[in-house]
Amino acid sequence: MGFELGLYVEGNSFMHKLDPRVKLLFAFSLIFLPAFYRDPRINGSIYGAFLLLAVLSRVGIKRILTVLSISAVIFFMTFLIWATSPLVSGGRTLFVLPLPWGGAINYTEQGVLYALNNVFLILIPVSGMFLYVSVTTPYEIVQSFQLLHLPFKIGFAFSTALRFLPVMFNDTKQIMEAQMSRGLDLQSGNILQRIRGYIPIFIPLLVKMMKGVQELSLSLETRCFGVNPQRSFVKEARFKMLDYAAAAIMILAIAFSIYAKTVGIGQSLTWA
Amino acid sequence: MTSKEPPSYKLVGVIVAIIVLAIALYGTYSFLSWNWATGPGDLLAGKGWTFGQWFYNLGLDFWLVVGGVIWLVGTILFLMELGGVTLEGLKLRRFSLRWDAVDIATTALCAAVYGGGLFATGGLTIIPGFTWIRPANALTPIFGILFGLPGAFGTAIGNFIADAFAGFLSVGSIGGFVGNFLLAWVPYKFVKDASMRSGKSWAQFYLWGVLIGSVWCAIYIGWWLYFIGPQSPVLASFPLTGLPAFLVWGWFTPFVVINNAIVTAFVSAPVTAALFPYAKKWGLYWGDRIQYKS
Repeated sequence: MGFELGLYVEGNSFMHKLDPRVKLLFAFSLIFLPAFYRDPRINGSIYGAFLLLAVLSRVGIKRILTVLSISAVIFFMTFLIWATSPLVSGGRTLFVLPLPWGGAINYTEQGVLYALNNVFLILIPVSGMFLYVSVTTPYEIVQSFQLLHLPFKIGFAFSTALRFLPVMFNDTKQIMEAQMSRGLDLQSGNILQRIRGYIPIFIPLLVKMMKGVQELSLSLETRCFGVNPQRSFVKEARFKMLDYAAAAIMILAIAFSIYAKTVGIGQSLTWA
Repeated sequence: MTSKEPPSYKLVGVIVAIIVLAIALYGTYSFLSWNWATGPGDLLAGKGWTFGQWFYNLGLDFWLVVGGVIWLVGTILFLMELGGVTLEGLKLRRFSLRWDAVDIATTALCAAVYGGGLFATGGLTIIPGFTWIRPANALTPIFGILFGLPGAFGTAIGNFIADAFAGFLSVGSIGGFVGNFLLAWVPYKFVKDASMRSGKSWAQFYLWGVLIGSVWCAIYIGWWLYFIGPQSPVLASFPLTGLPAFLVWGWFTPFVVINNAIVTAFVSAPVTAALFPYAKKWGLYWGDRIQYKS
């Protein structure tokens, strides 16, 4: 896995072409939208729409499978925990699940609906952010910081960290191999011995990191880093028709959700 | 240990270290020896492991108030540091950090090392979507004690990157950002001797860097997840995430405490002692870079 561009997957889809601010709005919409509803069918539809968007974004089957596998783990664990919560046990029993370690779980109508709704409360924001970083380059993330009048240096530190992630990965691997060839054993012993085994890895790694800080800062200083507080970009971000349309759809979705919450649409935990 | 130091300091250092290590070891041992055969059944019945159960038994009202105060203080301190005001003892002082090339490079590389280290174990999930086994947390007090604010911000950014890479990025990551910042900030502010050559510095390290830092970080993130969750007394009708309260206070928070405490207790102090001369020689030690305003 190449980390130079973070989790970004190169592509030419309409999601890739969106203005970085609109992509950020998209990510925030997916965090807040499911919170407006207490109906798993509506939140399930939002998740379905998200999956469709992920397919249309052409981020590749591998990335979509990653999202789905994360979703499956979250779904299983969250459903299992919430469906048996004593907070929601009303309604008729839908099914009884015998457990391999003994006993059984009684799944009631309300418990299942409540569990499903909470599953989507975790699934949609996590998957949404995953898609956001898949269609947004670190360069665009830094640009978003500037466009939203946030300190550019934070964005710069973030993108530089992404850039150096593979370097640090390789360094760690080399140091581990070198120390293991000298007899370091991380595979055996109790947990404390294994934890202490990281000391001879961390020391050379951090010495190398500090040397890296010196080299990077020298390189930044020779390019007059920070002299001009207003950062300029080779590729200027401009709103196009596609951006206006996408932003309008998301704003409308949020506005409708506020209305729905106010008048009580999608707030019922029953099948009917 | 320095010879000028009164022997009582060494004794205090040893006692504090023993108490903190005992708590960390008890939490870890009880977690590892939890009966995983009947465990899932216990979990579904709302029972945690013994250490976690102790946390949960304090009650949701207790956590709402105490956790809320801890969260609020942490947030205020985070914002103050962003605004150039810091805590010196019990007084507030203005400081000036240039955020020049060295500080930004330190922040970025701390984030790269920490984020990469966390991501490397991202598959060892404890609560899907929220936390995993994280040996790289041992780096946080080292970054705080040696590099100060750039190290603390690097820790926060590194956690954010690891969340994104491991598929944990959500509104909960806001709590993780500040929580991890605090994990490095607490030892930065309260471990006075970065050379770790005195009993006092070891006592400060175990008390602040291991115990208070770990507990503060865990409660900060835990309270945030509880507050935005479906059982929140304020946001119950508008939950931003779906974790049940017993999982937050009976599992997530105590797990974060022991994960942070056990790795920092056994790894961070000797690594800090070994690296301090290099950080000092190469001009990266925070004490040589910060300027206080009168």
